[in-house]
Amino acid sequence: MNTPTPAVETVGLGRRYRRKWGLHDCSFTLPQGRVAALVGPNGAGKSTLLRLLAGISIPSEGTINVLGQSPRMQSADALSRVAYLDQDRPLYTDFKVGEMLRLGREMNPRWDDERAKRHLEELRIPLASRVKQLSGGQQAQVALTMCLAKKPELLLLDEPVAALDPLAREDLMQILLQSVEDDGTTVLLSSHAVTDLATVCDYVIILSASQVQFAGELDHVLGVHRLLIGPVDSVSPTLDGATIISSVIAGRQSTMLVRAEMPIVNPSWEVFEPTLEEIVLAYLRADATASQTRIEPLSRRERKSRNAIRIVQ
Amino acid sequence: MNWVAWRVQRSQIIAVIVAVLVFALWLLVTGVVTGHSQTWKYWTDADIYVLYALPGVLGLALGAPLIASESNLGTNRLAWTQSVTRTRWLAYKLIVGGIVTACIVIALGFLLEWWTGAVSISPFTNSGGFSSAVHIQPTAFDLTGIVAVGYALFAYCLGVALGAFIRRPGWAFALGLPIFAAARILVQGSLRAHLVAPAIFTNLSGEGPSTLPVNDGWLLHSALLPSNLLGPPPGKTWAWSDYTKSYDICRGKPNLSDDGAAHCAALSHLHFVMQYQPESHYWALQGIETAIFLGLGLLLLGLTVMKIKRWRN
Repeated sequence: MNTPTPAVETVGLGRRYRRKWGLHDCSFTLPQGRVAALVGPNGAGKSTLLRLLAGISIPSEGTINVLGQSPRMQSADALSRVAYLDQDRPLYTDFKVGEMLRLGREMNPRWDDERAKRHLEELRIPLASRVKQLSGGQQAQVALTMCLAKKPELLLLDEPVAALDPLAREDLMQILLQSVEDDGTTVLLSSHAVTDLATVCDYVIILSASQVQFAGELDHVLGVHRLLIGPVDSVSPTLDGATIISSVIAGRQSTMLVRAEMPIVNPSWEVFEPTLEEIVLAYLRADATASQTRIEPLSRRERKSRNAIRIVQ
Repeated sequence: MNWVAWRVQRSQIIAVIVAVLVFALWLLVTGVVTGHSQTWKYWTDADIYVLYALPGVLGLALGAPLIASESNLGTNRLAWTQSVTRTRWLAYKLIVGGIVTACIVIALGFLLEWWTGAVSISPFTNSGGFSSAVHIQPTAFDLTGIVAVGYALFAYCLGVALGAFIRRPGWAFALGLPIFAAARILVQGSLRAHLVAPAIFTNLSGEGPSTLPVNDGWLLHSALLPSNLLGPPPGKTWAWSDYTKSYDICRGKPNLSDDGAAHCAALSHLHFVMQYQPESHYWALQGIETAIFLGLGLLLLGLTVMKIKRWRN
């Protein structure tokens, strides 16, 4: 599925809101045909990044390439190749569901009406009901259906599973995988539900403190991160060339999540393979400690989570 | 896309049409009733301002929500991520709303012409409404011909532009009204008289049957001026007292004959000068003034296009 043109490529991308950077110095590449997870804490800039890629927001600095074109150009062709699900799922609330589909049909050359109707039928959302009378979850499904029926080459989904029940989440993930398999669609979705993502994603972009902390293949992410447990006075793993992402000290024991391209040979550390969720949490935690003031209550919580990790291991 | 533009604006358009129909019904009833009774007066001087404001209110009511309500509900993010460029999207919406605005104003214009005739009351002529009025004079000029379409389309574009910049339909409407009023007052009060070179009438007394074309026109200025001048010399105004000292002395003498005014003017080397727009300039003035408002409207649309191309979310 890999083609020379990446689905998304950003260099030094940034977006400033008045005094604060919503996104800063963000560079990453997303090859085509991947299902990529965009993870990060609230306010890390996930929605900002997706909006910039969808071309509905303008970067303050840096460049974006989406399927080989700048989303700023806004040509009809470029628009037709990218679908975007906004975090607010905006729909015309006084429209009937069928009218939303007609809007999609009239505004998109590659619109797949059959697929949209079949999908809504499976979800038991009648075409005759008004959008405003649907539940939040159903509205999210309609918005999602519109993205899929557009038959895009790149699907940008901002928190697609947020309003969905667990069963609907499962279904959505299946649909996304199907669409990647059938059409070679590239998917970039942001989410808090890291566990859901681990089963479908093969690419991870970790965003924190308005910057990309990590972007790469899931296997690579899992391969270069290690969970270390050892006495507090152990030799620092940085001597082995590792970068400490987060470290938690409880009593005499220290737990660290590190990024290491080479194996950790220091015998004072027990080395574990972390799960995606642990890696993501470590990055989120690092972001939180960088900006937090109350250390004590947080470390108490971390002690608990460390216990959980050991049970898992 | 035509259907989309219509469907999104449908409820707004229906609301405006219903309001206009209620107003039209009131005109019909009062027109028919007064035609029979002749005693019941519906018309007051204040009502003229209602008619003045009508094109503005109509245009703003349809223009202000065009972009602002989409931005309010976030549906612009839906529309702009379909496969239609923003400029085309705006063009379709503008055309639908613009046609509706123009049609309503034209229909109301015919109704008002009938109505002023039917109620036989008009603040600007002796009787008979617009059709027998001196059309070139300000009030009739503003309410007849094609200028009202220009006013309404200008207000429409003003509403669209303000809506795009303020992003709140209510505020755009509220701010649009004084701006519309200011533009109208400015053009009517200062600009219109000079759009076509005015005609000049001179005689010795300023009276007599030869002044008929002036009385049927729109008198701009009149004064007793030195007989070699057709207008006040540079730095002077049309004020009588600047030129009429010897004339006033002459007029002060008792036992003057009926043509004393002309006699005194001749003695003082003065003549009576009237500057006016004759009725024959009506269509030229109508055309130029309409073009001015349409031009302003296009300017505002240009700003709007720039604004939505650089939209910051």
